Amino acid sequence: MAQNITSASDMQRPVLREIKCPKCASPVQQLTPDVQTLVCKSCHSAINDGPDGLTWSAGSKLPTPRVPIRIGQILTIENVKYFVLGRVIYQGWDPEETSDRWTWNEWLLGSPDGRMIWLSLDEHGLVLFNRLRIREAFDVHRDMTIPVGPGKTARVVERCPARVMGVDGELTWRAKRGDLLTMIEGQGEGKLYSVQATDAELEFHEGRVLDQNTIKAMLGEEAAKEYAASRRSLGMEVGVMLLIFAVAGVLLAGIFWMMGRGTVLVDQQLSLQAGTPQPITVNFEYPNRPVLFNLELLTTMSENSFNDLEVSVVSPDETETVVSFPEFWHETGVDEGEFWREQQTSGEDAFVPFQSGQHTIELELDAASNLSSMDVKLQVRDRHLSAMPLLIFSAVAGAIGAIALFLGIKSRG
Amino acid sequence: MKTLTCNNCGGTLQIENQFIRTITCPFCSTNYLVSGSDTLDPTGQSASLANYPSRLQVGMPGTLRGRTFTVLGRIRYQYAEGYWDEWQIGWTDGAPPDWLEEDEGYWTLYRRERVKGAIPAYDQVRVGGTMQVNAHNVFVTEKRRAKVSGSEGQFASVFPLQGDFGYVQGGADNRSVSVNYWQDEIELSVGDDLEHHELILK
Repeated sequence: MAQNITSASDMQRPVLREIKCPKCASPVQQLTPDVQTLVCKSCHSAINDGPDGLTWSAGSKLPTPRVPIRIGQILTIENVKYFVLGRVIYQGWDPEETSDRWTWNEWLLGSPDGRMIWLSLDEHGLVLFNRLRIREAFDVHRDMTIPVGPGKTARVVERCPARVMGVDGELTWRAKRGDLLTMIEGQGEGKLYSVQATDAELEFHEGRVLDQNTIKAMLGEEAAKEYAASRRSLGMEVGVMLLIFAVAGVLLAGIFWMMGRGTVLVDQQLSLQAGTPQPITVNFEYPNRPVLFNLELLTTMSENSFNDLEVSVVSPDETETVVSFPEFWHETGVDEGEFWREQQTSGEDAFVPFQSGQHTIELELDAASNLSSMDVKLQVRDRHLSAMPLLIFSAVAGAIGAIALFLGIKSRG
Repeated sequence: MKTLTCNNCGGTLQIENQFIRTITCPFCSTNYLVSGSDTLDPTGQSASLANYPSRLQVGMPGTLRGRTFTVLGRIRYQYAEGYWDEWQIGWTDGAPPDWLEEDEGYWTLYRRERVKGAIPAYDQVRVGGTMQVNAHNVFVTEKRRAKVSGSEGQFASVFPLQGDFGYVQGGADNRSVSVNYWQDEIELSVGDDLEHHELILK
């Protein structure tokens, strides 16, 4: 990857002071006033200068970022030169699914007017964040909009716990690996908003995604191309991965459909008389797992007739649960000179037993039906595998994957 | 301008205006309370501030929103994770001095405001909540304990050099509000956020 780095010696920044790392005794130079954390280049400890003197906390070398931004570099963003002072890697996670974790980089930049700003690299790309002074109330844990100015709000799109994974360079607060915070991300009017919350402070920032021309001026042409390619390849990778998931989901759904029919508990033909319930006993072994009921009409219905069935299950504790009311019907007619015929002669529904043991299934042909008697085939199965959730997942993953892949290919072209 | 002599090192101390209540000797960093008489009351030694570059320096003249001022003093507050500076500025039009707060290059002009009613106790205040202060319904964005870690120049108020204090910052009515819970006093300041170009230094 192309390097467009100005070395510390080129920056004409005076060394304000030099200290010895309290852990490894290596020299550590301070270039920026008002910093509270200096990271030792030798042992990567985070050194804090406080009222108790120099203290340190353990650190480790940070992984090389996807973009060629280095501590000590001068970045020119929209004709303003910024010093890259420090870098923080954060990790966020889904509080309800803690295995779902992601990381992002933030660089602390010092501007010529003394302001500190943040350059973030995350799923949006490179985003320049300025501090925002919020004057209206905002509930960090509940509000779905962030007040971002008089009468203006941004929509909250993400809220997650996060921790500092590592620090490098110089930082204006005492940062160390493991520091916890709550991150809230918002979007509105083409801008991104970030709220970092701890018990002691709420910090609001407003950011905008840097366009390719700005990145080109900042990183150089070659690095900007590689950055763009990495963004595109990321989209294509995500697209291909989702399409693979979609295909796998369809295949798995097929396997479920063919092999996951479950154990047949009841499979018999019944002759029902209108108004007379017909009981069938069956043993359900697995409480809280759905049992499938499938009914098929074996009797021929006359045209323009209907027949109602009531199916219920009596549990061992005598609780009666209505399972389904399949209506079998047979209709005909003429529409614009064309004869048509439609009929429904089967139905399926599920029942979830809350107890194990002997249950009684009762089937009754409603007395108001056209037929006074009918033959049906009842099949009851448990331990089946449903293909439908997989098919829904496959459809969603396939659609998103196709869009991501299309956008990736389009931008590459 | 009144001139006094440092009891500790004999250095010359020049009192800039009638509002000055505290002065730090620029030579030996001894702090003095300034009484109405011509005497100095030493309040004890405090750490002098490191001479790091900043936009402001004690003695520097400047203009803010059309008013001229001179930087009288700087005080640095330290909290567990960092610190911030406040600069006392004296207006040349004779108005009482105000404070410029500097935090990561962002500037706020604070003016002391008299507390006119009850203020929630420090322990009752929660970040993310609101508190009623005078007529301000303040959204609290920061709550910490801090202490004075150093000073230079002269000041229109007396601040304790020992021990820590609680402070709360927030916003109300598009302005900044700061409440310091000193041991013997609750100090309220209301501020205006400044754009970089508004602070013109000579």
